[in-house]
Amino acid sequence: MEDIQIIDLFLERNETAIHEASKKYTHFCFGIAWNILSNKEDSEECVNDTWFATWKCIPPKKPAVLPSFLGKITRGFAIDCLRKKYAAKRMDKHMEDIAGELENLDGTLSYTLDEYMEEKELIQIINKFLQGLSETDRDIFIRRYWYMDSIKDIAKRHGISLSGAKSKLFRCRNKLQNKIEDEAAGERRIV
Amino acid sequence: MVKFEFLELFGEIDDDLIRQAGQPWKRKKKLFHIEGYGAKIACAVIIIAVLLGSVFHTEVRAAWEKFTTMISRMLGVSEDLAPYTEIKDIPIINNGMKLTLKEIILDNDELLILLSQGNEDEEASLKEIAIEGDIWIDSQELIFQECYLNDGGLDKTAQNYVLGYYIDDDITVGNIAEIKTLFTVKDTEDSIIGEFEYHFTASKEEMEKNTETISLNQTIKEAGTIDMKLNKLTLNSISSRIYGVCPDLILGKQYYLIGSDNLGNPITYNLDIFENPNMIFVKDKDYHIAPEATSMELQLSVHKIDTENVIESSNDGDVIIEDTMEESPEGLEAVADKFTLEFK
Repeated sequence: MEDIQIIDLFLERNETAIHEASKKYTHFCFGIAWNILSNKEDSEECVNDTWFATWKCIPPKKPAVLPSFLGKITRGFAIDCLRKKYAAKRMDKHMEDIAGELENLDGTLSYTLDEYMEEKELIQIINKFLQGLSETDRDIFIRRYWYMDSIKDIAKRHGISLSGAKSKLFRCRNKLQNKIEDEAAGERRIV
Repeated sequence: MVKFEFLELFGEIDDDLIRQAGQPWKRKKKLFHIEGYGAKIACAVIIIAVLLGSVFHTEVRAAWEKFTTMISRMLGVSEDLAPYTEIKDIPIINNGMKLTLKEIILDNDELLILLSQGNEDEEASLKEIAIEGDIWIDSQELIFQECYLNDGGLDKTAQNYVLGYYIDDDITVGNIAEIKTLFTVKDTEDSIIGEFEYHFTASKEEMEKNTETISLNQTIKEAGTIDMKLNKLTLNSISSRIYGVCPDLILGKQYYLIGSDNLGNPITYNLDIFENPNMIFVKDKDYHIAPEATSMELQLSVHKIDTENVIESSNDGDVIIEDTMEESPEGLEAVADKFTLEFK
């Protein structure tokens, strides 16, 4: 079934919508949750919660890109679950690595959000930053930090070495950090 | 600090960007690549396979190669291949062009090939060329990564090219590897000047021995903000890396080790990978350590990143010029004392 038809079913409050959405996107959503949690039960739970949350969101929302909309919900649940794992020190190496890579950005973001900017503004800055990257760098950055792919999978996808992928990620993180700091400094001057 | 704050916020990026990255990646033909400090043109690069049919083509070819090698071995009719040491430095001449395999370097997961371009008529001036190269190790095709002109400035008479290949961990390199290379040289009009094939055997040890690994114990400190320790240097005639640790290095800046070798050749290493606290500085391709050099003097320098991108594409999408992190030398600031690394 086409995405637009699935969305229409949700808008009509037709329960077939959940069946159709899960038929088409369970694999996609499970993959996102699995990359974050590496656990079958936890990932399945996130996917199941996704259908329920989608049912509650549409309407009033009408997603422009259904897989991205569903993926965002699954990803959000998976990150919540990850926080619990982190608190219980049960986080796996893959996510520990990603969290480690983002330590600096976490700090900058935390400070910037508290002091100078709203979330929406920051998302706009990040979107603009991503659009300004080359297609390759953008894909690598999103695959790593949105889809949480392993470095090995990213290297394979782009036909580059592991160190090449790491290098590109480092450069992009470094640039984004700089961009956010610059924007925050601009806001600070205005304040 | 709220853990995963960035990951959570990043979840809200534009839907179209998420959708695009969710698609299978289509590799692009990439001809020119400008990169690094000073934005010098690396070289004309032609990606090995044309997009359409590339998977089919390479898979069939690799399978065929493997099959024929296996049959030959079973029948005991495998041709006697010359060892690397015998074909090295022997030029192949085709349509007046001379191509010489100067060196093969196996460095971790990378295979680097140094080729020298010349003319049969030594008086004639060198043509501007692009090199396309396929390489198989024990019938397994390697992934092409990059090609750049290695002019070096150290040898004014040679036009050397470096071709870099990635060795995926699915690929096994035998102790005595059978190596087949096929280089297609084209002119600037994309017309083929000639094909140059090498087929030989090389021991893994032979290919690895040109990379030296030197332990370091160098500390770099700066006013309480940087506490860096450099612990390893790897060095061969083409590339060099410096490994180290620096807990909680402040990002949003680009870090360099800048200086010169003891013969006065300028050297720049860029901080290429940082995974707190581990870091790797990689020697910029535009700088060359003299083979006779025994040490180098370096100094940590910091540069604020210019976030403007330079991305250009030709109409047919074949040419992409990009430099995602271009720096201007004016803002470069030395932040710690100079130090000397002895490597011979």
